[in-house]
Amino acid sequence: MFRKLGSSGSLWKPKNPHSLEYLKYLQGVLTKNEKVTENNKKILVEALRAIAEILIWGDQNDASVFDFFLERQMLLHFLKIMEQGNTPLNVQLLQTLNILFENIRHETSLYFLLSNNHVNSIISHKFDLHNDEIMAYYISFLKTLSFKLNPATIHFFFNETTEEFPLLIEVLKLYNWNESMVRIAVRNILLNIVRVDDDSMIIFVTRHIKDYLSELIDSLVALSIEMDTFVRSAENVLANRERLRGKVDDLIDLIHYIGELLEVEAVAESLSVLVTTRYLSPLLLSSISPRRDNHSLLLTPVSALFFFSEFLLVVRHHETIHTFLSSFLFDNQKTLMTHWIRHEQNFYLEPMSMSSPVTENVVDQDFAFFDNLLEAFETCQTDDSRSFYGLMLIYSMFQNKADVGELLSAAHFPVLMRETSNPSATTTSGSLAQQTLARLRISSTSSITKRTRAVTEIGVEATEEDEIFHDVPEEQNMPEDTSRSRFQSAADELPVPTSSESFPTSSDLDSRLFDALSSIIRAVGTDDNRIRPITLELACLVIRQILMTVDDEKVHTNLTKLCSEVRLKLLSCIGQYVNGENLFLEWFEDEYAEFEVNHVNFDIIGYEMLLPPAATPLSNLVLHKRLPSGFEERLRTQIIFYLHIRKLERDLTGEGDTELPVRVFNSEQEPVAVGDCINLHNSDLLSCTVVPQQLCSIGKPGDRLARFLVTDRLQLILVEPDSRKAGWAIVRFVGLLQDTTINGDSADSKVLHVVVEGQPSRLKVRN
Amino acid sequence: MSYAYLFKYIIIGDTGVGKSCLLLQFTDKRFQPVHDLTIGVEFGARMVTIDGKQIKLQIWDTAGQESFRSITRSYYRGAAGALLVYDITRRDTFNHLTSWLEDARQHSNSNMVIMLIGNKSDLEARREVKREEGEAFAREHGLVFMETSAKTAANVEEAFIDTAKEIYRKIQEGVFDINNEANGIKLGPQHSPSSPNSPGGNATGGLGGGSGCC
Repeated sequence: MFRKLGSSGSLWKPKNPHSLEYLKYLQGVLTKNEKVTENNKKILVEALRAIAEILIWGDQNDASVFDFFLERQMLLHFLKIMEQGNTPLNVQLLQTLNILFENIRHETSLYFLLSNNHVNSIISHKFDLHNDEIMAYYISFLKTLSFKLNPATIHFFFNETTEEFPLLIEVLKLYNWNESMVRIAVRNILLNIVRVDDDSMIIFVTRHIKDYLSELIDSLVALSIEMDTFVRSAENVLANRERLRGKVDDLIDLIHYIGELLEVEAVAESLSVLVTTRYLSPLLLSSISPRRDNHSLLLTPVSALFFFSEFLLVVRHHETIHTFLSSFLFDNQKTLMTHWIRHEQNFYLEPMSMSSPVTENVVDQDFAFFDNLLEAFETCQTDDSRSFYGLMLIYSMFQNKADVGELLSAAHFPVLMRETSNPSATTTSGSLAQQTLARLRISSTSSITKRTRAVTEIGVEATEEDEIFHDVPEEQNMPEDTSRSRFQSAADELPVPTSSESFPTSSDLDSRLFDALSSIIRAVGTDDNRIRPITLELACLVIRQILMTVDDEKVHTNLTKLCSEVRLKLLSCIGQYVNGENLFLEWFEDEYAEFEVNHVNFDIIGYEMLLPPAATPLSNLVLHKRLPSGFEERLRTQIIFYLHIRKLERDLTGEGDTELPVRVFNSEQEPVAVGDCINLHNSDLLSCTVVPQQLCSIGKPGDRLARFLVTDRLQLILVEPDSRKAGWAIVRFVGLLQDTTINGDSADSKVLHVVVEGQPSRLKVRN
Repeated sequence: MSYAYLFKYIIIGDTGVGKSCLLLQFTDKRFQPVHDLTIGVEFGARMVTIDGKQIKLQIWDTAGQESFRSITRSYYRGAAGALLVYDITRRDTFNHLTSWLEDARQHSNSNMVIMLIGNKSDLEARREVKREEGEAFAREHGLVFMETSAKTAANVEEAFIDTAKEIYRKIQEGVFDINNEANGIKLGPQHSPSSPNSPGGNATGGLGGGSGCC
């Protein structure tokens, strides 16, 4: 079937839509309709759509199609149409290009499309981006192109001699677009660009991306400040937690993005400097040390600790993490050279004045940040928010994947981690170790033999770990002592150690840290404490991680003793209700099941504790994340405390658990089950007729069944005599006496109404 | 054409299950899959009518972004609906559903509507995953389920439109906070017929509308 198309009337449509002839025909349509009018709009849209289809077909079946497309410079037609700014046409045009670039399989076809620089002209074309529709297709087009970037194609996009790279330049303009999908696409495109391994492009990119990176970090600063302000003023209700979650997710996305950029060599160095000098040091470290300047913009310690831990959980860039952590662990406030100042709605980073009167006493105080962390535990009994985030920070230090093991050991944070084979890192932590030793920090001293053993064990562990992590890229050739290049380390005067023998081994544990962690355990045993169960759970987790490497009898003994004391204290509190409170067993089993099954994922819940502690179920928070209200919840909370402490104590002593879950039967006496054949010698029997009231395992309503009731201490058992064995019987029904209610019948004294509740098997249900 | 609401969707699932083909089939029916060509696209938009209201659907395919955690995380959160797609001829794509779903649930807003799609229903002879299995998975996880074919277009309309209906229902019930852009829902622009920027008034003119050209 032939059909007339276009205004000229001279074009005839070939039958086969997948042929070179058809493309020629479409080219004719474009040529005849150079000027877009109301009349030919539809025809042009259809032609552009059909071009996409035939080119894909050509890519897979007939090379001459692409030759023709190129020869006739059909992309030039596209440009001419584009310039006329007709929205539906431009939408179709961009979609045609998207389809083309996504579906062609042959490299040569791709090169054809990219040659002649037309694609760059399209990228730079001034589309009406404020039209949502155009914007969405345009950004998808840029994203599609960015997935085609590699060292072979990069020079179609980046012109070294003319210093032009439209894809990068245009996408940088859009990073702050008011539409989230666009912003996400921009990040995706930039990640795709910076990962292309091409030297000249990298030089260009590093030069042009500077301002962007700086603004990126500043947006992290702004987001953190905004969140902190919110947290200070919001009540702990569901709506606020939802809002907070949105903010936290934005922040964590941003940290992930920064972390991913840091993995790319091209931008890592400059970004690392920016994040350290604009965020980590002047905002986070400043906020976890005593105030020096009244003008400084500081976060609440709780927020700062939270951001700090999130950063450690996500970012693994060696240099950034090491610089930051060693400052945190060892430096004093002299390291803080700048601070953020608020001026009306904006924030500015300014040099910190050194002569401020407030500063005199505090700046020289060594280990200012570390001490601040320990302070977080001092008030745990009355407010555990800071302790929770202090714990979260310690937890995330252990979780960090940037080879921080030695750094932590030097700070007497014993943790089993991959030992690094990096010689420069050894130097760094050597000096850090020296720093620590120079300060004569009290550490639990262990005998030399013990120390050697610990080292050997760690050595073995390290080899295994090395094998597991063999694909983790090694951060080689780090500039020496980078940790201090940007921080004025307080230890510059200290002699650099000549050998590594003075390393503290991983079995050292800072006694103050130990005391701080113990204080949480101690606090749950006190009356009227305001610890939330989740804080205790996290404390136990951190303690376990530490104990895995601490080879010190004293630490173990002290902790075991403490646990035992607290456990007994809790036991005496809850013990008084065991027999007095009807529902006690119910609650206990409930909490035990919860304790066994639900382990909190600290990588994702952290933000819920930022708001002030909630104290009622109306807050919609589960009990272990809030304070109890009323008798039942208080008792349940104590049961949770008891279970955690008990578990920790057992872990310490290596004792297995034979008492929980609560079992009705001890090991000598197995429960009887339906179908069992049991020996009735020595049992008292009662002959009875059973009349089921409703359909159940024993029978249906209306049945009258002759059974014998067997007396037992724990079970209600109904049997039928076994015809083959005298004195034996087959069990037809069992129920636990504790689940059984028995009532007499007022009309007939020989009748008993027996109700056996079905057993809600909690553990099974929850699993 | 102005719309009452804009819903953003994402399509997730293993590579090769036909996500981008489903997307193109829905947004531009004129790509007739009868010729032996598989064509897909990573973005598309289309207007649908639900309850007499014009609703614009924007669909973003997330293919190729898996290597960037920051990107996938953000995409999940910006969407009101998700199509979780597997290939009925490849059991492994069905087996991976749990981890896709976990990811989606962890990062998305809790109201996101998730539709489970068993794609390539035209390849009955090579079927490895029974329809009942898809149904059971959907039931267990509270998803809407459908088997589709991007090739024959079977159920493709229904999959996208039913998802939109579900989102619309949730809006009516007040579950979605439509003023929060992070939910993947946008209120339509104020209808202004005099707007100089909307020539012909039909922004989606080139797409989706029944075209009489061929």
